[in-house]
Amino acid sequence: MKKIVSRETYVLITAACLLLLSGCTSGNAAGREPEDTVLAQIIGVDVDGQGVSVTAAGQDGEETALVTASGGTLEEAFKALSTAGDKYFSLTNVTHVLMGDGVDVVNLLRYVLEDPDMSYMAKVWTAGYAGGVMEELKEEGLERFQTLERGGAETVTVKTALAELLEINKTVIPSLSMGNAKLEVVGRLYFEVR
Amino acid sequence: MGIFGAKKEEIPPHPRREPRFDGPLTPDRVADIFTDCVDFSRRTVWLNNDPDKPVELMCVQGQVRAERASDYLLRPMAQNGALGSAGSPDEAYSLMKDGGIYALTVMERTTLDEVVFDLIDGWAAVFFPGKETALSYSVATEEKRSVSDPENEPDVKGARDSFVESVRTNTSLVRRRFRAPELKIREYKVGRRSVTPVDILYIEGLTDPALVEEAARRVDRIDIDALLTTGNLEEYIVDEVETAFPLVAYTQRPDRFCSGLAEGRVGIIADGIPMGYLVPGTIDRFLSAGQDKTSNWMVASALKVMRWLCVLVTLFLPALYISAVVFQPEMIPLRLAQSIIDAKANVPFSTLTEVLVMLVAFEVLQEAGVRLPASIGQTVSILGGLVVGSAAVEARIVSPAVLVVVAIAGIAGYTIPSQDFSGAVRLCRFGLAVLAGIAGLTGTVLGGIFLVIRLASLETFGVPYLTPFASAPGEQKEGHAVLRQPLTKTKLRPSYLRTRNRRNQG
Repeated sequence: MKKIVSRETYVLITAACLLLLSGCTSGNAAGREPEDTVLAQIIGVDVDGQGVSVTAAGQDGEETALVTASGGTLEEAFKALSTAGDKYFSLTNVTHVLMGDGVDVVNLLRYVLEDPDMSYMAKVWTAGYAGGVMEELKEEGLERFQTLERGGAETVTVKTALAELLEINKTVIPSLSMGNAKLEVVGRLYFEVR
Repeated sequence: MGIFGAKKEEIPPHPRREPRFDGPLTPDRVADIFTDCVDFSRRTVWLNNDPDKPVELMCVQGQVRAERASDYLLRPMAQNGALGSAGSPDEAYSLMKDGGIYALTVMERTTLDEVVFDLIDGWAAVFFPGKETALSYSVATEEKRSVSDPENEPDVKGARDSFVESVRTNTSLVRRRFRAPELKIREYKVGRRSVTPVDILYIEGLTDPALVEEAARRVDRIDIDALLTTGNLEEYIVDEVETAFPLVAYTQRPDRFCSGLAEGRVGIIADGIPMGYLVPGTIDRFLSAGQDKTSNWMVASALKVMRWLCVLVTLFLPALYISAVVFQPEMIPLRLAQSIIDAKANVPFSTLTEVLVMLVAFEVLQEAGVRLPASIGQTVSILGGLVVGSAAVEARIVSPAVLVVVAIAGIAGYTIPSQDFSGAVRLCRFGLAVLAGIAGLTGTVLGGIFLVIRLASLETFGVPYLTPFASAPGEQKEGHAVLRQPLTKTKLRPSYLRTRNRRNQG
């Protein structure tokens, strides 16, 4: 049987496919070597007169790495986060979201829920100044959250909190504060959407 | 000029010369043909020691068994009074042809080709003065490797014999298992220089005649100088050579070979090759081991499932590791991801480079182990695997996770019973790893899709390669691709073999 496609054509087609694949990043996550990446476990969001600032914390070897990025909106702040530090802060393993005073709770929770990287099963907390709390955590270690959970602290996930806000227009989120040089649960904040 | 070099020139026809040797069948002509052959022997023998009754005896030393030629050929020729009392050479010729010599097989030869190849096969030829025919007696030596254990396919509960290099010994091993005369054995000569006997075995009344004819046609059309290695045979009878996957199954074990014949496959045995081929070679043949039918069906099924899983592991694990670590770290549990990141911190190479280097190192170690004598080979494997591996990790040339991934993928590959299939899988593993390095999971999945499409496009003797997972258009798909049914319930032979009789038991 006569061959329709020659061997040379096969090679050219394969090379073309590889070239296309190498640029095919829009539908695919960009690759980063693990040593250039910090897996952020906790993010804190604050608002001020300038806009929104997002702080991410993760383990970098033995140390806790922290990076802060700001932007006019929540989206801009999160976008700036990826280029804010020496290393790329991956949000794929975020387990806790700290919310500072004045943050639009529905907007933040919706953003986390819709983000393809972050998990909606992340626990959400309130903290007066999330960035400050995370600075303190740098000394104390990120394991403090696990200690709190093991100690029986009530938690609420992003999914649950957003669902309650959208369905019954209210939710309760645990509140954190530094006390006795340790992060502690100091109560719960009641949120209502009108 | 093409990518693969200069365009090939049209090759002119290369017809075989038939007959190979022209001319009258005389002793001098035969001796001419064997000029400069130090092992060729020609001598005159007097029948019953009568100088008036000379005959010429020819043989090729080393091919004949000297005692047999002396005792059963020379002694009666020299001492049999009946031969001495023969009135004419014709009468002596008739006597020797019809029982005057204690030989089981005697053939009357009329052409040079017949006599020349008889001599090479270890026969002795006797020429009578004035006659242009000769008598050939089988006095061939039986020096060959004895039947031994099948080293490449051990089986705790199975038979202990394996094929050897002699085609006739191999056919006898099959014949001892299939005593029914329906087992047919056809012989073809392959190789212009080697003239190697290649036998085709099938069971008449069971095997699809079209399959038998196709196998015979493919063997008969092989036109090479010498059939000396397995590749000489395989590459000439497969449907397609531009694939790394084997399209004919082989086995060292006569019992497995017979099992294939009983299913309705065609067997091919070549002289000098200590294994038998079974066609068609569908993918399930390469993942089944001899012990599958000797073990309990549940145990065998579990082992088969494990073997298939190991194929997936050995094929995709390095690619999935690269995808997960470099592109989709969320696939990995946090603590494991953190541990991988920490271990990789001081390694100067990219993850793809690490994996490729380790895969190549694995192949190098394996190749070194195979090429060296067994005792040294084991030492090399241990040195390479343990010492070099751990030293590379300590020197931070590779990260421990990569070492573990490549080791698991490599060990999983060893569960594949067919070395040819294992080799093809290992080759594809490299391609998938590169695709994963370029495009992560997307690349891995695309590579997997391409592989499945390619496998689905392959055929072996008209049967889809992916049978029993796939079927030819209009044909029923086979069941039990991975699991093994209890043998008592396996009432039918595979339909894709189109056997004349599908029922294999009551």
